[in-house]
Amino acid sequence: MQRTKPILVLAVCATVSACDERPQSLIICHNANCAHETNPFADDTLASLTDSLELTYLGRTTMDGVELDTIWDRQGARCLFGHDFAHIFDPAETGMQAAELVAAHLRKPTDFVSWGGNRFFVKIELKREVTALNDPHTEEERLAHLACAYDMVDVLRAAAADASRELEIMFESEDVELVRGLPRHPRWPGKDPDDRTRLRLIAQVQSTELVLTDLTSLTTNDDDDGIDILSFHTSRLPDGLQQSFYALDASLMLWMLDASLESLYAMGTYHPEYVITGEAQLFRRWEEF
Amino acid sequence: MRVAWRGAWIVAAVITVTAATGRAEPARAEASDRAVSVGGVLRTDLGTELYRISGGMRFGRLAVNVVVDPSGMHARKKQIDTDVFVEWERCRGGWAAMFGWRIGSVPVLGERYYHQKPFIGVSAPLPALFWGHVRTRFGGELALTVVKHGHGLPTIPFWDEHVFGAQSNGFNFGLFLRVELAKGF
Repeated sequence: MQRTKPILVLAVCATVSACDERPQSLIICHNANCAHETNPFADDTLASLTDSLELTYLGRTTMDGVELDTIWDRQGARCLFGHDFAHIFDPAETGMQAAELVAAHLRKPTDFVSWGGNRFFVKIELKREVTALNDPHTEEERLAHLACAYDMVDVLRAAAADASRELEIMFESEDVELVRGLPRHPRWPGKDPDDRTRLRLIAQVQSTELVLTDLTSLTTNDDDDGIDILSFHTSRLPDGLQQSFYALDASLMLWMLDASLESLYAMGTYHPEYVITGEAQLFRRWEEF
Repeated sequence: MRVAWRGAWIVAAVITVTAATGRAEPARAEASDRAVSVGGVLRTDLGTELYRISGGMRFGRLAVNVVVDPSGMHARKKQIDTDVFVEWERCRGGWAAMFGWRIGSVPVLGERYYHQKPFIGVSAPLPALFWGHVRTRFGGELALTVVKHGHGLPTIPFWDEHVFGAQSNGFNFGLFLRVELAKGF
């Protein structure tokens, strides 16, 4: 009788640990800043990007990829690297400078350019405003902003080719029409321009511009122009949207400002393919625990 | 910091109102065999909006209630959750068993995706406020999305969603507080 107790305890432990399967989402560094605390003054700067790319865990690069925010600056007619007009440094940093930093990272002589090894993910966000007063793009500015994104893509693809890296580049904007404009741009190379590169389009889960025909591209890989991924936040809205899209088998991306219990719950419940977080180190340790 | 101070003020206001006007007796409406009520529901989870409007009638130990979501109805592109449920008190003024049905209407890809959710739960009375005119109930509920359906969207029954897995998408557990102005008749 005495010997059955340890066996029972072991059986319970085995059962509990067997249920504790950590999700394995790809971890993307939010606003190019996962080396320091979330702070719009520090987010989307070349300094924070440099520090974030150097983060390691167990001898490997912590992140799977990085998010770079770009703003089209009407006043200077230039493509900036930054989170919003209230937090632009002087001299301003450009989207191309950010892309070149990531390109240099891809060229490093290492087997682990990302946690996964040879594959790196870059998410380029196209901010919808072009002034501090939140004015939207004109048609000319929209084309220029998209051209800037393609310039960044060219730099990243060249580095990936030089170092034989696999590269996935994703585009997102709060303005879904800005994202939909990418495949209509003359420089659109297609979603699979070569063997090692993949391009994907992202919309926010609550975007009102999404329509029924987007369901095909959200749930399969065979629509060349459609939205591929939906991003969602866990605590801003009731959870019907993420429940719906998870049930529809859409590809999901969880984003957050701070790690919370809701973030971990959402990872376990909705199994997002990507997690955008400023706390990459924390999530990597949690995933690998 | 400002949000934290606002939260502290709200908590302080609730404690003050509860201490000043609360009493450990049933609400006045409980003295009547029948009563009507209207008020609000606050939730702890994101199964629905955090604040909704409730109304209902009680006939002896049985109450029929409706909860609507004014914020969702106001904004066409938001999720709307509407509940109809009954509460059966084991004894007058005591805890009650709940059974109800929630229809969630979620804006998906330009259409409405309907989530049909039966739910069960329990609720219990808290001290009445404002000298017995306002009654409060606290409770918990478990809802299961049995089917999702909508125009142009796939119909997905719960057995296609592996809802009984360790981490399920189909169940919602929530705690709630109902604060209602009640009147007997």
